[in-house]
Amino acid sequence: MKTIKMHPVRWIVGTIPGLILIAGAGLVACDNASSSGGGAAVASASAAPSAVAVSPPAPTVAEKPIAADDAVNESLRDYHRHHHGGLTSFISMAIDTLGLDEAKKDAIEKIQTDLRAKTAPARDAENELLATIADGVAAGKLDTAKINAAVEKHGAAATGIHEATADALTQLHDALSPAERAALVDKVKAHWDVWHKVNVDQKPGNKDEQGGHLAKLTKLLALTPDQVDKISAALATDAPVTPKTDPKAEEGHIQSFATAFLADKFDPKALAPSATASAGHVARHGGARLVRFYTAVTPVLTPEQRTTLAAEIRERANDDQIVQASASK
Amino acid sequence: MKKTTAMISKGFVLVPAAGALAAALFAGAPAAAQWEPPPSEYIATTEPAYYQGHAAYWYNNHWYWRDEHGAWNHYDQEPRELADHRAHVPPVRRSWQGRR
Repeated sequence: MKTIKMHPVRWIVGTIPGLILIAGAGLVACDNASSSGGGAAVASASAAPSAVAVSPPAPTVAEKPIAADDAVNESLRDYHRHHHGGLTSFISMAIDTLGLDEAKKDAIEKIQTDLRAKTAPARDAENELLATIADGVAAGKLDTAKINAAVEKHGAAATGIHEATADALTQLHDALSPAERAALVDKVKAHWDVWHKVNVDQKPGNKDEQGGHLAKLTKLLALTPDQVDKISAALATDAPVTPKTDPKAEEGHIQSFATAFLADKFDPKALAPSATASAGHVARHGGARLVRFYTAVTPVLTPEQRTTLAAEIRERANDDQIVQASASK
Repeated sequence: MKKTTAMISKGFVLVPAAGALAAALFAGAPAAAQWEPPPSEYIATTEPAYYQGHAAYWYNNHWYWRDEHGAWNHYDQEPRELADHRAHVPPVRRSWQGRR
């Protein structure tokens, strides 16, 4: 009797821990084999193995993880808050971080210099707008008529860029390999994503948003809670989007560029319709948002804070120069 | 009966212990759903390495790359070529802000 009753118990006692361990080991093994997914769309089954299987594993050096929200990221967000050059500006910035071979760098830099020359009028107009805003902040009141004229001048200067840069973009396409073109397109989309985040998605008056414009200003000027509340209240309502400022048109233009630039042969004419539809939108939308923000901020500040802020805005006119290259952690 | 009771008691000790061991194994291994590709700010500011026809970004101790459908992938084990590249050319990040 005893023996008959004991067999199942022994079986259970012996097997359950074993099953748990096998299941655990199996799941860990599954994890090591996985290489796609995450927050993005699920990769095709054929894509990952071809790359994963090639090399024997190399020893990895344990390093401190790079923070998802570090100073360089914040610096880029602040750049895009103050600069609204749109697609061509994103392309020029993307070239800066393509990581090209030395042999190719000179040729690409020549093309980039040409691109920048063609976009100089828009950049000058933007710097004029920043200077006008800085003058208004320093004086304690923004000159609405002068500033609106500066925003419109920037928008108008941005309209002719597509036609002026068609040859340079074709040269750029032909000089890059397919992998480098794909990297450039990815970077252009990344710049657009950041621009959209700080100029459309983020609420300008949100005092609780970490890394938001108001939070940055609070830190820069040591704003009091009362000042923050007043600015936040003044920016509580969203600015209306007009047909000339709707950023969706630029999104379409960037997608058209991505499609055309990834093709074996680049046809700049394919971009003409979206370039026309989006002309000046980013400049007008971004410029108007900047003006609205600083118009709400200025009356709340002390004279000392206004001086500091005016100097900070004038500094933004120098942002276009790359002055810092830092190795990641 | 005493033997049976002893075996059952042993089971009550062993099963949770094995469960705890398995749980420790899960916790020690990075689950597939836990990894996150680099954010847009990182892609925009960082130089990639080119490997096997795509740009790869070193981020949070892994190399990340997009497949032809635009989905992010990562290598669980660092390919030797990329490890060598990283040893000789540390990833460079750039900033465009100000002459300070």
